[in-house]
Amino acid sequence: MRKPKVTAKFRRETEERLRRVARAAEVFIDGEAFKGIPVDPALNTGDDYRVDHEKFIAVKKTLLRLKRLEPGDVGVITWRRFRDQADITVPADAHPCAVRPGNHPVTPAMAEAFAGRVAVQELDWRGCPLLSVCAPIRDSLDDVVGVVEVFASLAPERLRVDTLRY
Amino acid sequence: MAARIPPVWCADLLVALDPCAAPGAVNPAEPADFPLRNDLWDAQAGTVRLAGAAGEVLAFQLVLEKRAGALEALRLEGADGCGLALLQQVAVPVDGRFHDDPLVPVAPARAAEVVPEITRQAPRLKGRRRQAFTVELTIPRGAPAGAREAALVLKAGGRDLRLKLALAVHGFELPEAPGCTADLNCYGRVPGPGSEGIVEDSESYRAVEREHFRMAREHLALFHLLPYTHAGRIEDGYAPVLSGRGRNRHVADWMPFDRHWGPYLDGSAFRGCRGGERPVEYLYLPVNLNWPAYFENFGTPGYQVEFGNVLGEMARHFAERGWTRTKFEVFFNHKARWKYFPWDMDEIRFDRDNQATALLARMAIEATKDVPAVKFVNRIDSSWIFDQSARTELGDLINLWVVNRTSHSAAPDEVALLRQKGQAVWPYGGAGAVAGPVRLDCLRWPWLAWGRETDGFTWWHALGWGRWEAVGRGGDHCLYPGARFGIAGPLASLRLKVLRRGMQDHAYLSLLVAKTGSRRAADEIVGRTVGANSREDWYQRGEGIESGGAEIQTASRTEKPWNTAGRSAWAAARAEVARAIEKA
Repeated sequence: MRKPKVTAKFRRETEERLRRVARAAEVFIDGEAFKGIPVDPALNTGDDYRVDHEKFIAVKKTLLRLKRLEPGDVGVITWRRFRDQADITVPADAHPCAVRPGNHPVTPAMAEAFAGRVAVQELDWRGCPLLSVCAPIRDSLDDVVGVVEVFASLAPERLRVDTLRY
Repeated sequence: MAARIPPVWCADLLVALDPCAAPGAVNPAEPADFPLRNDLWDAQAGTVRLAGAAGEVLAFQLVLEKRAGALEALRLEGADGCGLALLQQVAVPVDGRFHDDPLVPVAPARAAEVVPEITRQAPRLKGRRRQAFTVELTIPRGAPAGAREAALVLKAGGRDLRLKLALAVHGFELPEAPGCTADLNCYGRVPGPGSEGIVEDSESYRAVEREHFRMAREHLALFHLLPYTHAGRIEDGYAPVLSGRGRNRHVADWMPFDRHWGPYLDGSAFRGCRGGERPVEYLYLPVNLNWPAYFENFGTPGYQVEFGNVLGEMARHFAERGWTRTKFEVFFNHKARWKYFPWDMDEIRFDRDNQATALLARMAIEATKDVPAVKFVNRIDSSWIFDQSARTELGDLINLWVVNRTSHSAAPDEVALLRQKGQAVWPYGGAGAVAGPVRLDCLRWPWLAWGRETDGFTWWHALGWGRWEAVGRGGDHCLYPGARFGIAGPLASLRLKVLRRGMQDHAYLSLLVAKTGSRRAADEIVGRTVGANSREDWYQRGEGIESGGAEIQTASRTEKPWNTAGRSAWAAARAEVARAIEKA
């Protein structure tokens, strides 16, 4: 399949849109709730994996509302550090490149966000380009406790990230 | 030995035949002279013996050794209107060896053209020494009891061969509809046109999907398609279009739902189908934690209103359409491990997760209570804590319990308790293995349902088959995609054929109970033949849940006599039950 052509204007507009959502996510995701979601932080899947219901629901509702901030197709997902990798904690959407249900290598952009800075990365899903903005989630002490990633397709006529939800 | 083996011979469908082994070693569990004489075949007389009731489908394997040449044609003579169907057995690789399982239909009169093409399209198998076919005889409804001296006339390698067919028709008829639900569970889309990436709900897709439902119906089973993902995303065309939020949340357009599911709900999808033109017994609704209510409203009045509005509209719409024979399932398949939602609502490990299930079940009951003609059922899939959950308020709220086979086996009292409340309680597990000398796992499921006095059972996945180069061991599939062979629909498997035989056995048992007014006569026969004397014998009371208790079992691990009985014991049970029905 031929790689879709992405104009510089569309890419710039998409990045601006994602940055606005990511900025809102930085503000509105409750880092205190976020860091308390897994009951046992050493687990990330399996029959014994449990979450704090109230904290999970609070973060999930925030993500679902963030998706409504901007028109168009936007995926939102949150990550926490898990050993030397990253682990999906609360998704609104499936991450196009995530290993399900396991962990994901920390990409340079995610590493930047875990270090407290916003970063942009380009991804590929079966030949479709995606753009992603990673931003830190902070708790009440201003410590980074996770990463929120906001992403969108750069070829929406071929792929909408909303269709990726497993 | 090899010289004495006839070029064409027959065998029971339960016996797995190695397509490459020497003639005296076609099955490690059978004697070397198995191709010469076995339960249904006598090579010296050239006779295959079958027995069945009116309305029954009898199936056996027709085996052509390499020296017989390719099958060119097959016809049935003198069998009083019996239907004939022929399917070529295709070998697929499992754990480094090839095993027959998928079945490709062959028009019996056109075998000369079709068989070489199927062979060419099948996974390549070096060293094949025989080709087996599944032959199906359908005894017509109303067929009188008695013996038929018929013949199977086949042409192979340019030569004609006539096999005698001694067919005994019993003095009773099997009902069209099965006595329990053999649930073939699936998820999302069936393999079909455009099944990669974004799939349109096109007519061509629906036609392929419909063939899956018809295939299941033909085998006395139910094709059961969960229409949403773990995230709550609903496949295009599976749900009505909704609009609005909060109190304004309503159905805006029923057309996609009606177009997709309507033919299953009025039965028209099954027109001309063996098994009858009747609605599906159960249908999953698209209801999940994020549909029809927005999860961002969860725990608020808005969530309840959104949920209640749409379920109420569903109930009224279904009543208007006359869809009153199907049980519509409200089922939440979400699990915490998939991260989208916070509870395990499927295979629950911790009781606190049941609070959400109970809440939503109450909401569903409230939303649909004014339309009693439409059957909504709350469903749960339970494993780890089934015995505890059955004794909570869920026992009253949940109408369909689909329970891990081990957990089900361990808790006969809880199964009985729920059944007393009018709830259905099915064990679930997987289809039997593709590899292995005998296909008894598939046969036993309907017997298990009968023995445990349940209303059905679930094979958790009918389509998780992998790919042709590595189809998987079988616990997660019993159908194959037909596209490789130019078929716009699924292929049956040998294991599905065995399941149908088990379902027909279930009908025998049910007929005997109906005729005698109790289970006593059937229990006595089953106890004497396969070793289960009573309901209790079919359970393993107190059996511990094994490590990974929610894992899907493809075979029972209990050492109960019924589980170690050989295939001849099951055949004897069936024959004795048939005689008892005729005498009763």
